[in-house]
Amino acid sequence: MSNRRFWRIFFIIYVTGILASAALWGYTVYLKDNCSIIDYIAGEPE
Amino acid sequence: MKRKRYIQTASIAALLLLFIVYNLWFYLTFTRRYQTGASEGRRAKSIELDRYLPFAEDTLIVRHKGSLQFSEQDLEEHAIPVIDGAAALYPVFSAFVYATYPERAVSFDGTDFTPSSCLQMNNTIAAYQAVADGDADIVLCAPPSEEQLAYARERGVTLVTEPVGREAFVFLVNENNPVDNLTIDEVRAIYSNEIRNWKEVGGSDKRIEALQRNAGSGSQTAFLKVMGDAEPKRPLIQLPGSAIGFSFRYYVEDVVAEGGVKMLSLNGVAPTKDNIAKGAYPIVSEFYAVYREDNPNPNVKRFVDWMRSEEGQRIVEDTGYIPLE
Repeated sequence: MSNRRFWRIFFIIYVTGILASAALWGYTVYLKDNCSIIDYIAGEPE
Repeated sequence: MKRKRYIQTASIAALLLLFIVYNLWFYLTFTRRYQTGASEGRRAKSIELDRYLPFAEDTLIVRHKGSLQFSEQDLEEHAIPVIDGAAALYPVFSAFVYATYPERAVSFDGTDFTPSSCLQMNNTIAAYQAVADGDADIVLCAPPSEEQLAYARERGVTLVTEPVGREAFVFLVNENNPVDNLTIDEVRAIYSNEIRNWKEVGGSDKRIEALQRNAGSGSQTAFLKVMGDAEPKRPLIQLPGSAIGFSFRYYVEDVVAEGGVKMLSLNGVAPTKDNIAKGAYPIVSEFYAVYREDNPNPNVKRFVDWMRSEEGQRIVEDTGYIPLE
């Protein structure tokens, strides 16, 4: 694999990974804002 | 050459694995818990409006007719007050509407009240905005927060708050949590991050996940009052543990009526109706009818006075709240 190709693949995975993490973070904060305290506590894992 | 290729492939695989493991951990630790708590019904309105509609046949509200009656003519003249308020108090003000309004004053489209309806339910934050903006005449809520008072002041509005009933402010844990009682000082220490583990208050060895609500919500305002000078900490994402939260007794017991949580005793006193009525439970707060001082509609004051009368207080009590002393 040429250096150029390696860095291109590395960059694509890096950017995709960052975007996916940011999206998951944002979705989680959204859920947190809409989360009922009572449902949250009731659904607590054992 | 072969070694270089191996290092490149390993680097790409490691990066890929890093993101997969991190996102999987994040999802399982945080996202999934919040997903469970953000159920569709709660997300929409935090209360099912159609279960407490004033004039529906199968409504759950208390049905008493009042000696105060607004007429069809009042409706034509837009003289019937538009009432709004907190989700936890919706069964009360819906019962007030049933007692005094003509049926045509309420219009519900199957999901929400239509803009022309004299009964609305937009919950505390939006209700306070509505009364300050003049979109609602009366709102039934917990006392206003500093921000809500400031919002009204910025618009040159003075809000009048008149107590209509009382309710206990309660702290909740999962029903499997072995802790049944906390002192108010322990509650303050938990929310100030001084007590971080349930074993410090007689529970099992688990991190305490101290939950709060949105700023401006009725229970958050009441909670800040309980905290007094102790400053509550609020991380963006809580580390997982065994949670503690808060609400009002009636909302937990009657509106949500959902298993899985238990209300804690405070200073050794359980939040029962008897204990609240006789003043033994330590955190009882009044809820209020709030209206603009400059509201020109005389029916606003008439209606609020009626809520505070024997008839109105009977509805408060029969709904499950504690009437005024």
